[in-house]
Amino acid sequence: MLYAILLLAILITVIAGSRLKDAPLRRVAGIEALNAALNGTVEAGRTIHVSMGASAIGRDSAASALAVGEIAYQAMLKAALADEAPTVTVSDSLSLVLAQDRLYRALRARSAATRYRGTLARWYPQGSLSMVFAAGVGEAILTDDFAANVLAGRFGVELALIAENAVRYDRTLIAQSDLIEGQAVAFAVSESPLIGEELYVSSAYLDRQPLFLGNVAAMDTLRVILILLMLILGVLSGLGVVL
Amino acid sequence: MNQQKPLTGRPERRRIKIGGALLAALSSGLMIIILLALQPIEALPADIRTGIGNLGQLLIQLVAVTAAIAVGVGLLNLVRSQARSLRRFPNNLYSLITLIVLVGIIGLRVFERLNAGSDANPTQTSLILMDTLQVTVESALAGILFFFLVYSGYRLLRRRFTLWSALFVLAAVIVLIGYSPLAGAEFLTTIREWMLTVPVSGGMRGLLIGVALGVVVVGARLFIGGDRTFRE
Repeated sequence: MLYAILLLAILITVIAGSRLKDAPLRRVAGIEALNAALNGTVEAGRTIHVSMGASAIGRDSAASALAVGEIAYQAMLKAALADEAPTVTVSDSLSLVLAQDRLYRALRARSAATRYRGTLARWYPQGSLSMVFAAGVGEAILTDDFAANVLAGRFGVELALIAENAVRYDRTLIAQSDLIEGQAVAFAVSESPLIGEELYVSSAYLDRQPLFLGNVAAMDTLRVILILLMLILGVLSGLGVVL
Repeated sequence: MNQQKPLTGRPERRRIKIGGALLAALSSGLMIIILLALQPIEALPADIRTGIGNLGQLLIQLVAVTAAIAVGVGLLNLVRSQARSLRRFPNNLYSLITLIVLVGIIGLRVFERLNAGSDANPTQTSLILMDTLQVTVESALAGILFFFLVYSGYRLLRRRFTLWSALFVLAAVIVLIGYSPLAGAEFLTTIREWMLTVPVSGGMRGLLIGVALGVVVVGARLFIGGDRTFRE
């Protein structure tokens, strides 16, 4: 079943990606806020902080790590010609390599690779729901004076501790989590939270590449199929049909 | 003519490197999918199933070794970033404390290993420190979280008073009061149970299905070599 879903997603991504070059995308408040934060910090000569929490390459949160890596890439791409570079914080050490790679690639794309420093991506120890990570990132938010903070990926309730340091001093906060408890906290602390799967399609909004647009089409198609399946199964169950 | 040589040479090298990375990523991904699909088939000969199991173990060991190396890289990154922060001393006292504790614990651990000798159960001061300091501090931080969450609920209503935010806070209040053991509040327990089993459970599943769809499409992007790692 999983293979069939994956194959379908690949097919739709490829087919839709080649056809949807100028497809309009519906408005998503969280992503609009994210875009505004990315542009606004550069124009104001300030810096942005992107955190992927405990999202880890090689674990079940690898997809969210890649999606946040894309946001970090776009942030660096916009900031490459400005004075201040974004900072990325991670809790998983393999994700540190991913974050460094994305920042370096963005600078290289702008022919500014010499500006790269390994410490633009920072590792705070370690693992899922780490209070040490929350304390370290919270302290960095205060001392480094980030104008905007994007906290997306794998966060639990410790997100509240990090977010408090951002919100208390009126810094922009965009939060999301792929865990239920983290998403609940994100909704409460952020004025413009990203909800659930919005993170995974944010790349299509930030960089309208055919492949990313294909991803959006694939997600929407799978979503419609799932809804139809649930409705059909619900009706069958109501009629007493046992499958 | 001589000046153009390096320019024409570089892109070719990069193409080969990216092709290798894509090949390695795709082949290992496909291999894992095939291994996972083959493993439960009992009709396969025992030798083949053992071979599949060993190959799976090898891949897991490779990942474990890579992760262990990455922790070393992370540690170096931590030292570098904290040392860099020290330039703003005394504003960044926490960085100094982090570095002192890091060096102290590593030194203590090395000292313990050197002095362990033939003692089968040596006293591990580093572990005692971990239990008494880190666990205590983390527990204290977790305790503070409760107040942050309550304050977040208040701030949510003050800054963003919408139907959804009001519903969010109302649901939290009903669920919390629903745990009250007071006599006469039994109906709140019933409401709490209904809320947890119907709207909360439904919402949770909806969110998790959305996240799962996101994971599938990002996975699809990886499988067709569309991730930035393989394209640039």
